[in-house]
Amino acid sequence: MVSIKNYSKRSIAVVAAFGLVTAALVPLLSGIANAGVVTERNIKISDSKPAATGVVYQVNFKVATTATVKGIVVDFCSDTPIVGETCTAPTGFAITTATPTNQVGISGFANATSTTSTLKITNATGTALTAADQVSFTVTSTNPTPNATFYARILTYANDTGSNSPATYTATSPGTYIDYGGDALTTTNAYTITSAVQEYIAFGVDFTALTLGETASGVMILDTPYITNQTYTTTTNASAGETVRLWSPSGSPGFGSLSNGTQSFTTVTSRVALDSGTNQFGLCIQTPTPGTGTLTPDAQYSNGGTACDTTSSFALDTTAVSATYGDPILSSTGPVVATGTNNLTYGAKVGATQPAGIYTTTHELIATGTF
Amino acid sequence: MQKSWSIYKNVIKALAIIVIAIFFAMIPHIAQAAPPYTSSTYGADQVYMGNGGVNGASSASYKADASLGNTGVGTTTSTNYQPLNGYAPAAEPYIMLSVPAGNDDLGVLSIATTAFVSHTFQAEAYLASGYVVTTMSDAPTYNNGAYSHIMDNLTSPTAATPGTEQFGINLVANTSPSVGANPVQLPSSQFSFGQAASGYDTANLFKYVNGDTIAFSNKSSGITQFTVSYIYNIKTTTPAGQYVFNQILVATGTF
Repeated sequence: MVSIKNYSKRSIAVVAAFGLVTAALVPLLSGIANAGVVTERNIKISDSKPAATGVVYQVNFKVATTATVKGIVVDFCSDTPIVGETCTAPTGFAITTATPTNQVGISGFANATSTTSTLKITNATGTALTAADQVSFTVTSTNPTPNATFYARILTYANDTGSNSPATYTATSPGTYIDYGGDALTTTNAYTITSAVQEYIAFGVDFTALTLGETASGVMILDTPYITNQTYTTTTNASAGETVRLWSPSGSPGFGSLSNGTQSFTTVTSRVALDSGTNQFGLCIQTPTPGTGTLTPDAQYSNGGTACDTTSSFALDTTAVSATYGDPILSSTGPVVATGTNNLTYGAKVGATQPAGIYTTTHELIATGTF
Repeated sequence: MQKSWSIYKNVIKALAIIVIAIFFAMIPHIAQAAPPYTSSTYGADQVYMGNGGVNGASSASYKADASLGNTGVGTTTSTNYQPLNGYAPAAEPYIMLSVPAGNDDLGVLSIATTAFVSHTFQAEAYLASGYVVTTMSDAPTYNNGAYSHIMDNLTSPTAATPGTEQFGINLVANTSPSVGANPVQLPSSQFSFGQAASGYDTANLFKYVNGDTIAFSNKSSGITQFTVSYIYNIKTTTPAGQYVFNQILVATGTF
């Protein structure tokens, strides 16, 4: 016969044994224990100035545990990166674009109830990751206001919703997670270096007097075209370029054309071959090849890249040349260094009807930079 | 009746045993961190041999961590290990980048001479496998709204040459021009390990690429003071105007 007292004692012994066995198994059943630590973790930021906006935050880490990850939390704190401790949001810090971009190692993760200081991203399907796999993604944020160190806690989850997921994450009750890690970041001052580059322009010509005519005598033979070259150099750092104008002083006989005081050589505003008319005086410009930048002759005088000679076409707009600021003949759109041999070619031809005499004119070249 | 009450009490006792056993089994597993020192069956967060101390002592106005008889504190390092010594090293990672705010004005640049200036910053990282300091700024820029120009930056280490448009930096002491200083370890090289990065570590050669790492440490480090030397050269066609360089430095620690 089994007494009730003996039976109850045996029952206690059995239950106690069961309890001890259960206690021994608890470590295997608990989901909090044995979370891995993500390695090689850092958060790169694109700008360290306090309160900077539109800062790109690139989160990088390697997972410690082989598992399918469906949720990731990055919690920014001013006080500590220790998971489970209270977390004070850094003053002024705000995640402004919580949708992760440039996802590496994961894909399809999207914003899920992130706050201004806690990034929560999930993917219902998840990404199967193997230990040591690299994970990276970027979000955009506003930096904290103070110039100081702040922290981030990184956690990965097996769930995207419900318990033990980013949805139920809080700083002090993170739930059961797969891996975790702490990170430290810092803002700092920026400083400025200023300097100035002065405006600069230089323009020079080689000759102060030019002669059109026979080399020995300087006399022009009827119906024979003659040319002479004026060389020039120019250098400028004008960011919007320079303009070179041909100007003849007011009151100059012939308004810029060759003149004996009462009679002037014929000039044309549209280019005409020097040897085609009876008499003519004009200008022809070969496009120069500066070492830096480009100089472009005005179309009215341009002979393209070909050197001007007695068969070339010439023109001279005496109205523009004798105007207040002269006639633009060369221009650039930016800085120029033209220190080689650059030619302005004058041409003339005299016909039988041109009265004899000494014909002269005065020209000036004016270089103007636009800075 | 009396027998039923006896059985009931015994069941309660058994349940209490189960609950207590489970509770004590749970305690070790509320701990949050995987310990740094582990074997196949054990793990230890911190190992201390000494007279001991106290953490988290507090009064109404103060809190303190105290130790007695520490024979050594701070970081020691070998090729593969970097233990933190002392009774109560902090458990939180840390990174610091200290850059004094300010503005340097180089005045009017000349094609005949190299303009230069230097600026210091300090970096430190704790419980890290290292840090990098990155420059995140465009080279000196002139912008008047309608026109902009960025000075030619030196994309590889190059000597300063007046009359050539150049912008570059390095983090060492130079003689041509005479500017800059080598990294200084504070308090000493036993505790701090910051270095100038490759490309920025050769005297009299300057480089600048936006996004480059200019300084680093491969391990936790105390404070290293770095001096950045900046050189400017212009040519005759460097567009006129005021050039501004906003130096933004970013420190990233890897933990």
